[in-house]
Amino acid sequence: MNKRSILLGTVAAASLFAIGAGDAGAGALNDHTEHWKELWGHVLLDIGGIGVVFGLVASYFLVSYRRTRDDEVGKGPKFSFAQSMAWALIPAFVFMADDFYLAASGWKLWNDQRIVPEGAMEVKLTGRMWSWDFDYGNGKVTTNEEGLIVPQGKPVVMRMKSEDAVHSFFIPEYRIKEDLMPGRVTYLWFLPKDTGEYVFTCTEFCGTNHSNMWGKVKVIPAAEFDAWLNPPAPEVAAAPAEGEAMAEGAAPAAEAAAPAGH
Amino acid sequence: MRIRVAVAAMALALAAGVMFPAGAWAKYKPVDSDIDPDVFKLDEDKILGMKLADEVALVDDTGRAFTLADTRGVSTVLALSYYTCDGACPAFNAGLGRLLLQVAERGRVKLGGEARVMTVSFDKSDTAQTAKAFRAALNFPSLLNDSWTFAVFARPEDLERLTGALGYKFFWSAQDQMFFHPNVFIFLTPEGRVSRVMHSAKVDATDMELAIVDSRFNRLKPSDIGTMAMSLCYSYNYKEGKYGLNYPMIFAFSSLFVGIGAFTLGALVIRNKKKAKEREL
Amino acid sequence: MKEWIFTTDHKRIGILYLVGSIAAFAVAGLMALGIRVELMAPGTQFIEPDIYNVMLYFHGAAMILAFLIPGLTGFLANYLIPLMIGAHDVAFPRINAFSVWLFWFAIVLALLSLAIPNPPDIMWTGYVPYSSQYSSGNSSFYVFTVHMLGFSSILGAVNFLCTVIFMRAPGLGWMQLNFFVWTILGAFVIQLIFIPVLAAAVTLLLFDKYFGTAFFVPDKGGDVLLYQNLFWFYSHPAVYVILLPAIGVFMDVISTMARNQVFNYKVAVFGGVWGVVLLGSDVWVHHLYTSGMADWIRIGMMVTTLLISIPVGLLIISLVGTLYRGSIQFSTAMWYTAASFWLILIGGLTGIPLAMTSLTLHLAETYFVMAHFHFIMGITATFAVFAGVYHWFPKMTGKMYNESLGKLAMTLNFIGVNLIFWPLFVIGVEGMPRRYQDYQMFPQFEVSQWWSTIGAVIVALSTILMIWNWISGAIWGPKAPANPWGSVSLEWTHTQSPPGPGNFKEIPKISPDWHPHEYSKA
Repeated sequence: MNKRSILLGTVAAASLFAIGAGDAGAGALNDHTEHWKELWGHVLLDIGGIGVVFGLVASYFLVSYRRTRDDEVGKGPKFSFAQSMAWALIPAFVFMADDFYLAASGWKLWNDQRIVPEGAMEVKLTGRMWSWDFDYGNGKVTTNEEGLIVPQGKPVVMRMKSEDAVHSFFIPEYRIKEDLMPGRVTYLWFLPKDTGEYVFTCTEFCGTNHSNMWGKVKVIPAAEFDAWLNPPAPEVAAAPAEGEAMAEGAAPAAEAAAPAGH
Repeated sequence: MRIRVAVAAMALALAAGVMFPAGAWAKYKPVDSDIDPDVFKLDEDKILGMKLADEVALVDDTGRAFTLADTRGVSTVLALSYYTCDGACPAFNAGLGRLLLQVAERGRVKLGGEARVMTVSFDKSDTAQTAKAFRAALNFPSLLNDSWTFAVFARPEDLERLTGALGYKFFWSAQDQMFFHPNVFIFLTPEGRVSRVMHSAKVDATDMELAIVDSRFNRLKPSDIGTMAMSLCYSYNYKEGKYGLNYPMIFAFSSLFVGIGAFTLGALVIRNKKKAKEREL
Repeated sequence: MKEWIFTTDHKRIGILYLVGSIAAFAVAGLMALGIRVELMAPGTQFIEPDIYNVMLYFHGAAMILAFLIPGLTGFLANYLIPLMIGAHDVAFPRINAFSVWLFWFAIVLALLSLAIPNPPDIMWTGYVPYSSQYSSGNSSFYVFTVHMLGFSSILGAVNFLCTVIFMRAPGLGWMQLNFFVWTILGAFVIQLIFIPVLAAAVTLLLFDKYFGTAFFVPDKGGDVLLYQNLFWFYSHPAVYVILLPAIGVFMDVISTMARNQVFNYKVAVFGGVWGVVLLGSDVWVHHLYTSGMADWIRIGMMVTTLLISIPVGLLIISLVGTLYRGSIQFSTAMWYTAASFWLILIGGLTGIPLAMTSLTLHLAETYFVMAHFHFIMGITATFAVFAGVYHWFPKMTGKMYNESLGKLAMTLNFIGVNLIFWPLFVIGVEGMPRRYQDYQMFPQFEVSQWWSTIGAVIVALSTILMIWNWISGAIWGPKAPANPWGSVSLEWTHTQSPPGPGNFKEIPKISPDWHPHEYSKA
C-alpha cells in the first residue's frame, strides 16, 4: 500500500516534470503544428460536451412531450422579469466564459503561429497561375515540380507574393496556410520535424488549374540540405553564414566594388 | 544626356549647399534627381517583406557599436547616404527631416517612440567622425536629433551584403568626384522587414506618414483608431510610388447610406399616406 | 395568367417568389449533383475543370442569392407578414410587384449566363483580381445578377420594414408579433444597410474588368484585399439574413405544433435576434483569417465571432425551451424542425473552431468549412423553407399534402445530407481543399468522396418526392380544415384558406392580452 503510493507519487512527479520539461522544449522549438493538434483536441471536447447536453435535452423534450390528447395545450413556464433575465444572463455568462477560454487558448496558438523564431530559414515564394517558385536566396530556385526542399528540424519562413490572382499556400501536414496576393507580402512559418514528403497545395480559387497547383515539401537531413543548397564550388571561398535571413542575396553588384571614398 | 542633367542639378544643389550657412537646414529644398530612375530603381518585388540581416554591425556617430537587431521594436526609416557629400546628401537628409517634422506635427506618429530614422553611409571611407560632422551640419531640432541615428558600417562585407540584398546600386564617379546613388527611403517594420520603398523626390508628408503607419500597422492599438481610419482612406500606388485616395473605400462607405436613405423616404411616404387617410375618416 | 403577371397581391407575389426560388434550387441542386459525381474518384471523370468551375460558381451563387434569400425573405415574408400583422397588403404593393419581377429577371439572367460562350467561373465570391483581370468568363453576368437581386432586396426591405412599422392591425403591440416577424425585421435591417456595399464592390469589379479602371489593381493604387473586405462586409451578415428567418420559421412551427408559448420571448427577440444583427456586422474578418491582415484585426474579430455564440445560444435555448412541457404534434413541418436541431447543433458547434483564427489557419478553405456552412446555412435554411411550405401549405392552397410521403421524403433528405457531409468533415480536417475538380494529391480521400456522392443521389431522390408531394397535393389533395394545426396566430384564425384579396374581411382588433404564441388560455 505504502509502496504503491510512493510509486504513484514518483510517477506523478516524474510526469509533472516531464510536462514541465516538455513545455520548456516546446518553448524552445515552438512547434505550432503540435500545439494545433492539442488545441484541436481540447476544442473537440468542448464542443462535443455542449453538443451532447443540448442534443440530449432536445431529444428528451421531443420524446416526452408528445401530444397525447387532441385538446391538450402546452404548459410552458411563465417567467417573471427576474427569471427571464436569469435565463438570459446565466447562459450568456456561461457561453462568454467558454468564449474567453477559447479566445485565450486560440490567441496563444496564434502567437506561436505568427511569431517567427529567430534564425528561421527564409524562402521567398512566388505564386502564379498555376505554379509556385521557391527562391532560396542564393540564386537557387525550385518549382512545384521539384518541390520545396527544406532541412529537417529548422524553422522555415515563407515570404510570399502572388504575380496574378489570389492564391493560398497550404501544407496540411503542418496545419498552416496563408494567402498570397498581388501588392501585399504575407508570410507563414513551420517546423519540418521529420524527414519525408508532404503535400502542399493551393487553397484559394484561381481558375482552371486550381486543383493542379500542388507539389511536395521535401524534408531532408540538414547536412544533405546544406550540400544541396551550397554545392562545393572550387572558387567561392566565403559561404554565407548559416541562419542567414536575407543577406545571401545575389552577389553584390560589381559597381559596389568600384572605387569608393574621396 | 540624363546623367549630364543630373550632374548639373547636383552641381546646383552643391552650390546651394555652399551658399546656405550650416544650420539653415530647413531652407534646403529636396533635389529632384533626374538620373534615369530605371538604372537605380530598387526591385520592390524582390525586397518587399525581406528581413534585413540581424547581425549587420554598425557604428554610430558617437562611436557606439550596434547591430541591426538592436534597432528592432520601432518602425525605422532607413536612408542610405554618404557623409562627405557636399550638397545632395545633406539636402536629402534635411528634406527627410522636414517631412518628419510635418508628420510629427500631425500628431499621429510619435517620433522616437514609434518611429526612428537611420542614415547609414555606403561610403567605406566614412567614419563615426564624418557622421558626427554631418549630423552637426544638419543642426536638427532636438525632436529630430534624438530620434535619428547616423551610422557607418563596421565591416565592409556587411555593406556589400546589405546593399546587395536590397539591390541598392551606387558608384563612384571619379570624374565628378561624387557618388551616384538612388535617393530612396526604405521603411522597415518593427520586426526589421522592408515594408515600403519610396523615391524621395515623390514623397510628401502624407506619403511619409502613411508609409510609417503602414510599417507599424500590426502594432496599432485601439486608441489609434483615428490613425487607422486615416490609413484606410488611402492606398499605395506601386506605379506612381505614392499614396492616393482609396476610392473604392470611399465609394463603399458612402453606399452605406443608400438603403437607410431609401427607408427614410419610404417611411415618410407611408406616414403621410396614413395621416391623409385618417383625416379623410 | 394575366392576373399573376400584373398582380400586386402579396400572396401571389409570395408564390411567385417560391416558384422562382425553387427553380433556382433545382438547377443549383443539379449542379451540386454533377459536382459530386465528378468527385467520386480522383482525376477527371465527366466534367472538365472549366465547366466544373462554372457549375461551382452557379451552385453557390444561385443557392444563396436566388434560393435561400428569396425563399425566406421573398416567399415566406411576402406571404406571411401581412397576414400575421393583420394588414390588407404590404405598404407599397406595386413596388413589391416590381421587386419580384426584378428577382425573376435576375434568375433568367443567371440561367442565360449558362448559355453564353464564356459563362462566369468566379465563384459566388467573385474575388478580384481573378474576376476582374484573369478570368475569361463574363463576370458581368454575375455583377448584373447581384445588382438586380440586391435592388430587389433593398426595395423589399423598405417595403417590409414600413409594413411592419406602420401597418399593424390596431392594438397589435410590438411584443405581440409572431417570432417570425421579428426575425424577418432583423434580416431586412441587415439587407437594407449592407447590400449597397456589396453592390458597390461588384460595380467596381465590373468597371475594372470592362472599362479599364484600376480600383483593385495594386500597381495603380488599388487594393486586392479591400474587395474581400467589402464583399464579406455584406456577405457575412447575409448569413444571418438566411439564418434568422430560418429560426423564425422553426420557432413559429414549434410554438404552433407544441401549442406552447415561445420560451423567454422578449429575451429571444432583443438578446437573440437583435443581438445577432448587432454582433453579426462585426465579425466578417473571420472569412479573411488567412489573408494576411494585421494580427490584431484577426484576433479582435476572433473574439467578436466567438461572442456570436451568445445571441445564437439564446435563440437555440428558446427553440429547445419552447418544447418544454409542450404538447407536440409531429407534422411533416415539425419533423423538419426536429431535424434542424441536429443541423443547427452540428453546424453551429463546428463554427466554434472556425471562429478561432489559429485553428482556421489549417481549416480555412477545406471541406471542413464547406461542410460547416452547408449544415448551418445551407441545409438548416433549406429545411426552414421546406418546413415553411409544409406548415403553411393548407393556408396557401386550401388543400392537404400527403403526410406520410412528406415524412418519407424528409427522412431520406435527412439521411442524405448527413451522408454527404460527415465524410467531408473528416477529410476536411485531414486537409482536403474546397473547390477542387481533381484531388490526385489526396487519393486516400476517395472512399469518403464516394459515400458523399451516394448521399447526394439520395437527396436528389428525396427532393423529387417532396416536389411531387407539393404539386400533387396542390392539385388533387383533399380539402384542408380551416385551422389544421389549431394555431392562434392571425393568419389561421382570421382568414380563409387561401385568403381572398385583401386578406381580412375586417381588420382584426387586437386585445392587449392576446399573443400569437399563447395557447394556455385557449
